[in-house]
Amino acid sequence: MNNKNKEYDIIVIGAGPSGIASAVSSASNGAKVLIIDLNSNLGGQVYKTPPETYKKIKKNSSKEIRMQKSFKKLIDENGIDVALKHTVWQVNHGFKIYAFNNNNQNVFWECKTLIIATGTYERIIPFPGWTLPGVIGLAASTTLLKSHRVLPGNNTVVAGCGPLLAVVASGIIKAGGKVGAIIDLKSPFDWLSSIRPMLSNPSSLFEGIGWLKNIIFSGTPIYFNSVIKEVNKKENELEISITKINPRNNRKYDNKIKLKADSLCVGHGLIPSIDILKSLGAEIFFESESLTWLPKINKYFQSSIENLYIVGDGSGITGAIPAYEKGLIAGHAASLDLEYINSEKFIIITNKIFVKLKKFENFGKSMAKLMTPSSFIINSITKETIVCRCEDIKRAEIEEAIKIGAKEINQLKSWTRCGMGPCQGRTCEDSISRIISEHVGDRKSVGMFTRRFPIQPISMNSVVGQFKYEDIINVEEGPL
Amino acid sequence: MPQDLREKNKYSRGKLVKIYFNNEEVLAYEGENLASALYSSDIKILRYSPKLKMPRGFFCLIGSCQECLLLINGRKTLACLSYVTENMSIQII
Amino acid sequence: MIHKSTYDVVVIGAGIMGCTTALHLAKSGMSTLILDKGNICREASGVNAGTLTIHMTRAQLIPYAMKGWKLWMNTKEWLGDDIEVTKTPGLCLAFSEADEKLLVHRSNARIQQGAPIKFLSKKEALNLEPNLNPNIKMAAFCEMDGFVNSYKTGLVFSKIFKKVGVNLLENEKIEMVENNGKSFFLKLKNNNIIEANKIVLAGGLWLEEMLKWFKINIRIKCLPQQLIVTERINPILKTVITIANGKLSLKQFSNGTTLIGGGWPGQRNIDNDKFEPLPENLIGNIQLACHSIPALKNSRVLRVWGGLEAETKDAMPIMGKIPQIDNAFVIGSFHSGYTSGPYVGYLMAKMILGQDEIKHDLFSLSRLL
Repeated sequence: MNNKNKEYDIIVIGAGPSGIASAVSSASNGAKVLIIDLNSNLGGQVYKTPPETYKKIKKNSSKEIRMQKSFKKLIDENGIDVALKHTVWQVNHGFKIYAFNNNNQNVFWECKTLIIATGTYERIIPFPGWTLPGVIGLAASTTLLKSHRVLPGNNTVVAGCGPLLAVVASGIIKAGGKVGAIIDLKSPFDWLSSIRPMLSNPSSLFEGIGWLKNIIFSGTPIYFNSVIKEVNKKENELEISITKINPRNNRKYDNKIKLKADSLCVGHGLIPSIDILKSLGAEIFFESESLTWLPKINKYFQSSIENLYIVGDGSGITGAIPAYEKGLIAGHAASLDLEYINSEKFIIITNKIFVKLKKFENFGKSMAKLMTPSSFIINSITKETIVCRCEDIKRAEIEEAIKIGAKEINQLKSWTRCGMGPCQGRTCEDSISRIISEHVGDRKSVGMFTRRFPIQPISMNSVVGQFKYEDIINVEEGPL
Repeated sequence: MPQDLREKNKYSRGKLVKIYFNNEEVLAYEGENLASALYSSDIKILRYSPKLKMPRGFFCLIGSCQECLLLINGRKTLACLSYVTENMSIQII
Repeated sequence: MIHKSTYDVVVIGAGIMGCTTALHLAKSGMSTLILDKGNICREASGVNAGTLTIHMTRAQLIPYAMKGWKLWMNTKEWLGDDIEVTKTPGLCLAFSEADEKLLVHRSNARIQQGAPIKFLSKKEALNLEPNLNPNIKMAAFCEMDGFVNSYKTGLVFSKIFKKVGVNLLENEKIEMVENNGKSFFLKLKNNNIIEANKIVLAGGLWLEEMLKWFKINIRIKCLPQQLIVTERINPILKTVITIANGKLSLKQFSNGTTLIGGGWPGQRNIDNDKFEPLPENLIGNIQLACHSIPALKNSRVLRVWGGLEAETKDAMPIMGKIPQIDNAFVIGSFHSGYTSGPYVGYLMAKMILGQDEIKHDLFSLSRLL
């Protein structure tokens, strides 16, 4: 795995299934390809495997390990350069990609075509107590379980919505841990209505049945149509209060159930990561079904900017298997741009993939639906709940700014400091958009936080390098 | 042996080493993820929030939320993207 | 929301100039509407470094900046207290012999205009600001300096507008302005018409297109200014730091974040008329900052952004009547306009109310025609 070269035909940012696929299809056509990821392993968020220092005890081979092995093989076979543990912080048009590594060294590469495969990040709608240590994301919990091989706690409550609920609960049980309860925003009916689409994807159905089996056999109580009301720290434990919601009128029932646990895994779906794309000025649109901002792309996953592609869940959430197929298409399209493949061959190959993808369409849609929280979730955020974690800003302050006149998210940011902290609004953007749209009625007009670089915070040390005062670029002095 | 939130049925970990959290000795396995190594040793508080000084721990584990920022061997680094090395020095910022 | 469609005065452009002018006009009893094609104070006035600087203000504009500074120190009286104003001295640094010559020359020009600047030895400067690079040769000291968190500007004006009765209309671009000699008729996108007895153009960079409504053609140059902010760090700065050649401004807010500026240019995106960073200029700017305060090296950069400032061909402001058109006024293109804004907006209002006694020929629009 080397990345000594500086110039590439194609650079792929993100080594999850879609990124790997893009790299592989491009390289198989003869393009010179580099793939970059901030993790220490290939596989992205979906196929997480333990670090190299871990040794297998039993002769087990999880899906994740198999996928990773096959990815590595494809990478090696196709002569793709790899830069792991590199965090991209700036991308310029043309394209120039800057990244820093674990030693805080600043490196950059150039390429003609850029493929973004940065996936998603998790949506977690705030509730009182969500900032307590021991409260972690659902997707975070999958990393903890699959990669780090650590349980979230001795007794964990799993809450939120979407397939990850089942993945995490089942994962904890399989690892020998205890799930105190599952708190599901949705109803059994919501799950049942996703079975039909799953039939088109037998391996997923099989997997789903496996999760269900683990959960049922463990006797874990499941509370449907329920939300977390608040979490408090009581001695060394978390006291979690939940309420049931009537799905017909979104009114809370009076009953309150209190659970004790030492950890809470909570998540409300996934949000496509379009930071790099947006910072380059690519066009986006607001999708009302998933309530997320998505990149405007053509059927080959090309964005509104020439030679810039976005694949995988970042282009719209459909899951891991379609992600790989989509990556293949983009890789071939990028190859076509650079004339590494002719149009005839391109059409033949991609048409076959489109046929494959069609089968996953409904499945993807139903998974996305399961992970989109219903609108009543906004009521979980009380006036005193912290919304912007980086800057400690409560809902009350946000409401105050809206009352004075902030109707758009960047204006609200100016008036409250929400989104000005280290995470630059990734964690709070979704919740704040919902709060503002409660007042202005239209989610689209609320907008998105303007994306600027650095995409990830970078230490000044890495930017300045070694320099002499006299060498600092001679800039015209300021006016007298 | 370090506290066991660690699942040990399927994998064995690397060498057991000493690391230092706020100058206190902690045992961890070489090469394991730092955020979860600390968590497994019941070190859940990694920082205090800027205005209200409330305790925070790791949250997203993918390098996005910035909650796990620590001074690791003198550099500001995210614990969720760091891996244990012998004698690693970790400080709350 | 438009409550009515006729006003004594309409101010076009809700940046610091327009907002201050509107504020004073309303306080004097005029029915006032202020419009902006975007949101209030979201262009240069809301995204600048907030430096209340004398060191970097153009020499000829010092008297205005000093009066503006005094008003900023007293926002409770006229603006409200939701904006944080920090009074600190300003230190302008010299690292080389060339720097020293330049610093003395520039500081003297400002001293002549009344700026309270004195010179400090290396030892004195390090005493005042311990984290300075010990390689400095000397520094110029000005007790009249400080900064504002400029992103709150829109908030405070919105609040006070409600109190004094300034009507604010955001996200409304004016298509055309017609003048029948008695009133002005402003045509909005949705065919709404607003009638005004007096009109004030305060459109910053967009004054060039606004003046075309009155068949006046002048060139307004765009200065896309780039800024850098770090995460919260321990207190390491007590003063506002600038550098002899004027290409650094550095300050630390009470919340610990550090803001780096100094007029390193970004670029203007022609398509959407927004600021875009110029990555090459990030490095030089940060190098100057780290050279001045070495302790900064361990902090992390969170964001690079900028704003579009305006400059006329002689780099002097415009303030006054629009020639040959009664009841039409224009204000803008002030270097260090954020510092002087509260004062010059007040002067503009006085002029409009017919109460001004001071001549401001220096700033007349006619000189550019």
